[in-house]
Amino acid sequence: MYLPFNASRRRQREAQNARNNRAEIVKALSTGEVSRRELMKWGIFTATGALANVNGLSPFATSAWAQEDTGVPLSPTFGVQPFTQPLKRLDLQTPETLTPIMRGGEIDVAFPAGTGELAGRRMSYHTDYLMSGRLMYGNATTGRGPLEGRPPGAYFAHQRWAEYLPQKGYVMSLVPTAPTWGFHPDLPVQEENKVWTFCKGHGTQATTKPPLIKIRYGEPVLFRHYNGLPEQESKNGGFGSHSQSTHNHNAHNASASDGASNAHFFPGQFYDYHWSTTLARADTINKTMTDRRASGPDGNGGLVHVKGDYRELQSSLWFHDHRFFYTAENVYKGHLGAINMYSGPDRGNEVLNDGVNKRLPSGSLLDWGNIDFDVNLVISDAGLDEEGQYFFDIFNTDGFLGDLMMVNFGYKPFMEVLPRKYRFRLLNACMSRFIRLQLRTALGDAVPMTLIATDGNLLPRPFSLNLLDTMGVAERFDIVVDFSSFAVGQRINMINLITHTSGRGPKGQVNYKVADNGRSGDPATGSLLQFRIVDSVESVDVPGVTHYASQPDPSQVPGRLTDQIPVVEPTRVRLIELRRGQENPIDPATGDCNPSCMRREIYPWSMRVNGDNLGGFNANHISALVPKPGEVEHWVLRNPSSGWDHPVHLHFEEGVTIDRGGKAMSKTEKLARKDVWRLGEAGEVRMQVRFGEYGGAYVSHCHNTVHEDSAMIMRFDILTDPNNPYSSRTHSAVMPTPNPTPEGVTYTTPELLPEGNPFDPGFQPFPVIPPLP
Amino acid sequence: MPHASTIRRWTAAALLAATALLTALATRGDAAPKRDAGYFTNLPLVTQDGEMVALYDDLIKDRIVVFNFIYTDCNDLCSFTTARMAQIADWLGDRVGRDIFLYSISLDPANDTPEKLRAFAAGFGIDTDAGWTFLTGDPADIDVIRFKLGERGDTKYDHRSDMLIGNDRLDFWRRTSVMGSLKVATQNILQMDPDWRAPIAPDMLTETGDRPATDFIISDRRGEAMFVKVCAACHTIGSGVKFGPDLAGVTLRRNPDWLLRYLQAPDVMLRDGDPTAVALNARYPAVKMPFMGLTETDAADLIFYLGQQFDGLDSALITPTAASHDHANHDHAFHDHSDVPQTAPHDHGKHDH
Repeated sequence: MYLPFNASRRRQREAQNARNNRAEIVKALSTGEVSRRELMKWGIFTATGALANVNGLSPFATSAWAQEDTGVPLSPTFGVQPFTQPLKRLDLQTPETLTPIMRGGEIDVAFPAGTGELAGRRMSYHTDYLMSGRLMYGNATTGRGPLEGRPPGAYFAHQRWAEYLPQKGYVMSLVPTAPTWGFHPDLPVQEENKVWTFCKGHGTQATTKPPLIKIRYGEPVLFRHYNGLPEQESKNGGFGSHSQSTHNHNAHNASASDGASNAHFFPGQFYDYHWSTTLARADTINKTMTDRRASGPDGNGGLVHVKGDYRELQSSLWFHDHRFFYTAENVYKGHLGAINMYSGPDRGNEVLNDGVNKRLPSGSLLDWGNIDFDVNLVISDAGLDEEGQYFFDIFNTDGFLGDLMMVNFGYKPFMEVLPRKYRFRLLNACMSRFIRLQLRTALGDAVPMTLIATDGNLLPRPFSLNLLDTMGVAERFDIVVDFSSFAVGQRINMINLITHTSGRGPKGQVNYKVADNGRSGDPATGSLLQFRIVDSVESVDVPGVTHYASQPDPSQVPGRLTDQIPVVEPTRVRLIELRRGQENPIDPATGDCNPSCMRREIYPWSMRVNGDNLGGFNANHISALVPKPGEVEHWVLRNPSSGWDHPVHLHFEEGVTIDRGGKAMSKTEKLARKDVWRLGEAGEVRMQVRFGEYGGAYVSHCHNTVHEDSAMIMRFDILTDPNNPYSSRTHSAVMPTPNPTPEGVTYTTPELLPEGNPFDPGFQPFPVIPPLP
Repeated sequence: MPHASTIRRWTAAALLAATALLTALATRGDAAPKRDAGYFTNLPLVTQDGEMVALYDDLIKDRIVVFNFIYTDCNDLCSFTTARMAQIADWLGDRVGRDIFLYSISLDPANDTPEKLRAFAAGFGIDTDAGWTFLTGDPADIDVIRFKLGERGDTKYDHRSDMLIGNDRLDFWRRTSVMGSLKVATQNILQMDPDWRAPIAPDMLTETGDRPATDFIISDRRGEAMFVKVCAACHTIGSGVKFGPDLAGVTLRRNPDWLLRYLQAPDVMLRDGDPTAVALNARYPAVKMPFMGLTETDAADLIFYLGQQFDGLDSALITPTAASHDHANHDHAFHDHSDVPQTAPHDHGKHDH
C-alpha cells in the first residue's frame, strides 16, 4: 500500500502528484478541456479506454519500478529521525473515592463534594429524564435529549450493582486535542479534531497521551465517560463519528457496561460504565472466598478475597471505542487506553512475599500497582497527509495500514532502562496491521524475552523465546526482559518483522536486517522502539525518587504463575465461519453443481453460526444464544478464505485454545487463554469457553476493525439463571436492541437466528464440521 | 477545474517522458482539502434517460446523497437490495429529489444500457424523475468512480451490499447497511442533515420491575428473522402484492417439495422450464425471484413460518393491516397495498406519506 521508505524522492513525489493529478486529468477529461484521443496520443490512456499503467495515474496501475501497487505516498517525517524522543508513559489516572448513599430502595454512589458530579446510579439518568416528562436531567450542552446516554430502564440498569458497588470513580472526557498535541516535538501539531483522545475530568482539550487506569480486584469502578466532541457530526477532521461507545476489552462486565450492545452516546452526554472487577466463575467456583489466590491487594500488604476462579484472573486489558460501523476510525483517532488489573498473585509489587504474590517485575515503592519496571507499550500505525496531519482513508474497506509506527501515540521513541528485569505489556493497537516483534542489540544479537501472559491471562508456565508470535490487532503479550547482562550505554531495538501490502492480511515476514534496511517493501517493518541502558532513572510511582543500576533486582519470574484449565467434553459445539454467503449452491435438480450451476452473486462477509447463510450484521439479530450460565461450549472459529486473515475477538469471556484443526500450533498458543485468535488464511481455531455471572447482548467479531465495520461481527446473547439470587432476573430473557439518537434511546425487538438458538427444535448441539477446504 | 494553462503544460510535458509529465504538475498544498471534484472527479455518467452527467458537479454537489452499486443481470443480491432501498426511498418521502438524492451505479456498464436501467427501475416501481437515478457509463470511468466511492471488490460479483451516504456541503461521509434494519438505515440517511431531529418516541421500558415484557420471552420464531430480512422487501403475507405475489396461503396452493426447491434455486428452475416458475415469471416480469443462497434448512424454516402466519391470518384476510411481522419496518405496515390488482407490479415510488 505504501511506497517503501527508501523509494527515491522522485518516486515519492510522483506518487503524491499522482494522487492529485489523477483527479485533475479525469476532471479535465470530463469537462471536455482535453479529449480522450489527446490523452491516448500522450500515452496516458489505452485504446480500450482505461487509464494506462503509467506510474501513479491509475489507481490500479502497477509501478514502473516494481510489480506491485503504485502505493500511496509515504507519510512525511520532516527530517525527524527515529529514537529522538523519550517514550511517553501512558497518562496515569487517579480516581475519586465514592460514598454509598441511600435513595429510597436504591443505593447511589456519591462523588466527593466539590467535583460537581451527579451520584452514580444503578439505573440510567435517561430513566429519570423520561419519568420527569423530559424536564429534568437533560443534556445541557446541546439542549437535546437526556444527560446520560445509557439507555433507560431495567435492561441497561447495572447488574449486580449492590454486590459490586463502585468504590472508585474515574471521570474522563473524550475531546479534541489541544493545539500543542503532536506525535513528536518536531512533527507538526495536529489540527483540532484530527485526534480525539481523553482528558481528565470534565475538560475540553486533551494534552496527554492515552490514559492508563489501574484497577484491583475487590474494588469496583464507575467509569464516567463524557462525550466532549463537536456537536456537528461533520466536524471530524475527515474521519470518525462523534457518537462513541467504550468497550472494556476484555473485562467480565454486564452487557450495559461492555460497550458493544449498540448503545452509543452523543456530544454533551455521559455514560456510566460499571467496571465491576468480577472474577469469572464467581457463581460456581470459590463461592465462599476461601482461596487466597482469588483476591486483590488491600493497600496495606494484605488481601481482599473475592469469589471466582483464580485461574481466570486477568492482568493486561484495554478500553477502546466500539461504535458499530465506526470502530476503526474512532479507535485510530485516539479513543483508547490501557487497564492494568491487579490481583493477589499479580500484585504489581516485586518485594512483598506472602506466598500468593508472584513478585513479577514492577517496583516496590507502592503497596500495589507499581509501574516503575512494568511498562505499557501501545503499538499502533499512523498515516500522515502531506502537511503531517493524521490521515485515514474512509473509502478503504480492505483494511487500513499506516506507515509510521507509534508507541504510546509517539513516533518511534526511545526508553531509558536500568540493567535489570522489566515487564512490558505489549498491545497491538493497529487497525489492520499484524506485527511480530523481536529484540536485537546493535550487534544484531537477539535478546531473549520471557512470555508471562497472553491477552492478559497469566501462563501456567512462562517460557523464554527470541521471537514472539505474530500479534493480530488487539492481541496482548506480557513479556519480561532481563537487561542485567548489558552495560550502561548499550542499545537494544524492538523490531517488527511482518510485512503487509494490503489491509486484507499480512504478506510475509522478513529477517531483522531486511526489516531495518528498507528492502522489506513495507515501511512499517523495522525498529520501532529503542531501549537505552542507563545507570539511573526517575521513579514514576513516587516522583522525586531515583532508582540506580547498583540497586539489587528483587523481582522474580517463577516457574509457575497459575494453573491450566483443562479441556473437557462440551455441552455443545458451534461452528462459526467468517465468510461470505453460500458460494457454491447445490442444484436441487441434479444434486450437483458443475456444470449445471449458474453463476451466482457472492453474498457479503459475515460471521455465520452453524451454517446460517443470512448474515450481514445487524445489531438487532442474534446469531447465537447462550441459554444458561456454566455450560461448556467449544467454538470452531473458521476462516475459509485464502488471501485474507482475521484476528477474531470474543467479548466478555476468554477461551482456552484447543487446536487449529490439524494444523500446527506454536508453543505460545497451546492451551493458552486468550480473547483474540488469528485464524490464518484458510485456517481455524477451536477453543473452549464457559459463560456466567452476567447476561445481555455481547458480540464476537474480527478485530481488523475495518473488517468489523464491514459487518464481520455477530451478536450473541447470554441468559442469566432466574433462580440465581445474585444475577439479574431481567436478563434471564433476551433483551431488546437499543436504537440511540441524540434525542434519546428507543428499543426494537431483536430477531433470533434459529441456527444459534438452542431452544429451536432444529438446533444442532453438535453440528457436522466439514473439513477445511 | 484546471485552467487552460494547466492543459497547455500537460501538452508540453507530454512530449517528455510520462514520469516527467507528472512531476511537472503543481502539487496542492492544503492540509485537509474538502472532498470535492478533486477527490470524486467529474467523470461522466449516463442516466437511465441517456442524459450525460458529471459525477461531482451534477450528482453530489450541495446534496445529501446515497450511492449503491448494482447491475441489471444480477437478479439476486441487486434485486434484493434495490427492493429494500425502495422501502427506504418510500419512507424518505418527498425529501427524495428535494435535498436527498439516491444513485444506483451499474458495475456492468458495457451491458447496462440506459434502456436496461429504465426497465430495471420500473420493475421496482421507482419513479426515476423523483430523485433516484440509475447510472451507467464508460467502464474505465466507472472503475475509477467505484474505487473513489469505496466499492473495491475484486469482481463485480462480490460487490458490497452497503450504501455510501454523504452530505457534500459538510464533506461528511459514512456507510450504512441495506441488509440490516431499514429503520436504522433511513435514520442514518436523515442524520446526514444536521437539522434533522429524531421524532419523540413514546417512553418505553422504564419499568423498574425485575421481569421483562413478555414480548421478549423466547418462543419458537423459526423463519421469522429470515422472512423479515429476505422476503419482506418484495412480499407481504395477506396485505397484497408488493413486487412479488402475496404469500398468504402459499403453503396451501403450492406443493411443499416444489416450494422447498423453488426457495433454494428459483433461477435454476426458471431456466429449466419448470411450468410454475415460468408462469410466475410471466406474471411478474420485471422482478425475478432472486437466488438468496438459502440452504434446505433455511427453506424449511421459511415454509414453517409462512404456514404459521397463514394459520393466524383468518381475520387478517379481511383486515389486512395486522399482517406484517416486519420488525425492521415497524410502523409502516403495508397499508395501502391491499387494493392493488393482483397481477400488476405496484408503483411503489409514488406514494404520498
